[in-house]
Amino acid sequence: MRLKTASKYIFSEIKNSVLIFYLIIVLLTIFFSSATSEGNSSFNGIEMMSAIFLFVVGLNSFRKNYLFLMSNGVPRRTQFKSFFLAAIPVTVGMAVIDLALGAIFNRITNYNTLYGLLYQDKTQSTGNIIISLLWSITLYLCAITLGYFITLAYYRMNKIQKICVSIGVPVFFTMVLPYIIYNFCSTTTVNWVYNGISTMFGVTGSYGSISAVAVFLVCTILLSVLSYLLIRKAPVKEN
Amino acid sequence: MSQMEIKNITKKFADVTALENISLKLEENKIYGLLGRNGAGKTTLLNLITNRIFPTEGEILVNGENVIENDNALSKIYFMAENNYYPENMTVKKAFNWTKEFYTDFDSEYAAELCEKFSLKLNQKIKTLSTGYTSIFKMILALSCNVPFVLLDEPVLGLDANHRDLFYKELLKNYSEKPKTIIISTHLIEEAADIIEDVIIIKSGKLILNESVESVLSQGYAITGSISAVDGFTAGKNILGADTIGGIKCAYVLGHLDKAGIPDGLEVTKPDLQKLFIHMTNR
Repeated sequence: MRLKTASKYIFSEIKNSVLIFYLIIVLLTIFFSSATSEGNSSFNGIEMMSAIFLFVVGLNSFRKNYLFLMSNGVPRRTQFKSFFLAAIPVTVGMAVIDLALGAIFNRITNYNTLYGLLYQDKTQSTGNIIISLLWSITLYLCAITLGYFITLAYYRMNKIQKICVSIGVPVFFTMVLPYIIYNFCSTTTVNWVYNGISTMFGVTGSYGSISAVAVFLVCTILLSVLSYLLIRKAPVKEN
Repeated sequence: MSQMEIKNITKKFADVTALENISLKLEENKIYGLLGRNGAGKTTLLNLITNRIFPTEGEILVNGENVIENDNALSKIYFMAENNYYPENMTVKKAFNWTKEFYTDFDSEYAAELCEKFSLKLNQKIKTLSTGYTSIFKMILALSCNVPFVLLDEPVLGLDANHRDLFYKELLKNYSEKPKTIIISTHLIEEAADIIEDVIIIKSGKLILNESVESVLSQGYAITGSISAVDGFTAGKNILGADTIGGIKCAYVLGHLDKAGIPDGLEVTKPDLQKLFIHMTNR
């Protein structure tokens, strides 16, 4: 009973942001399609915008809801389940909306879906609507779970840990990793990693987009397991 | 029958022991006063009862069920915390509606009635409420929930004298109409003394007293009369404190009173709970 109510609450918190997001998307599309002349411009991949939006939603889905639900005596385990109960319909709904909007935008402007751009070669053979939908759903679920995990991890960290992660992660990706690649990795190794990632996400290789679906799903499961471990003993913090 | 049992609870924050081996039984339909000086561990205990934090040792049972991650046990408790954890953009009415979803016995009509009495607007956003009105908002939620255990942490924080008076009246009215176990954690002992039945005193994380107010008050007495008469009578006795107005003095004495030995012109009354509290927690 409380699980249903808690997920209803989280869903209601996300709902308005989703509506505003699509309103902006539609307005932007109308603006660009009317402002640019036919043939010389294109508009691609709202899936990436949706994924980024859901990542931000995930980032905003913990603290406020956690404190409110704790005030109403909802245990952490129930809160964790209710987040996913609310997130799944949101991601499914957004994947369906994006698919529908893609079809509409295609008629009014030069529009390509991100899925179409990435898996162009395979779309004819394997990429039917269901796979494309599944790809979007798992991508969105992975994005919202990543946001949820990051905000939860920050909530559990103390001040020093927060500073270390906030500085350490960007420094690693912008300075340490490029330095390692430039100085210690051969072109063969870099190509091997690049090809591995491309195959994993089905851009190259024989598995196609279904491979990316599996990767997103595994990432979502891993992130949710880590999130559960973090929320399980999360205390209510005063500030 | 609702009963809460706190068994050997210890809570440590790093190397600081906030609570040490606390054991208590909270009986059904009683009003408890949870008293202690700043940092004594009152809020920590209330946070542990509602599983907002986890104990280092021990357990808290509601009707025999451990409260930790227990939906059923936690649904029987409402905690009015000192801090506000409701979303700031939420209106008072929306907060009531959501609380009703979580606590199905929440009385919306009663909540609206209390809002009118305290002049709290239903369409007001929580972030626009003053400190006093935030306390009123949380207190209305707590009184309207109709759960077996209501925990109030500093319920009159920021309330003016009129609202405090109204709050105590409404609390008693609510308790007499729908009895429940209420724990009030407060520093305003004099005001709460008239409504609490049992007093729990925590000092530096340790439970030093868990008795009925009646029994605590019987440990001492107040004696009033002319300054010289009071001084004469209390000489050699354990005096907790004294108030003097003009030529009249009221002394608070700890110890048993032999009524036969009271000189004429002196009046004996119940001692002040606050004076006893100060004496107990200063030792």
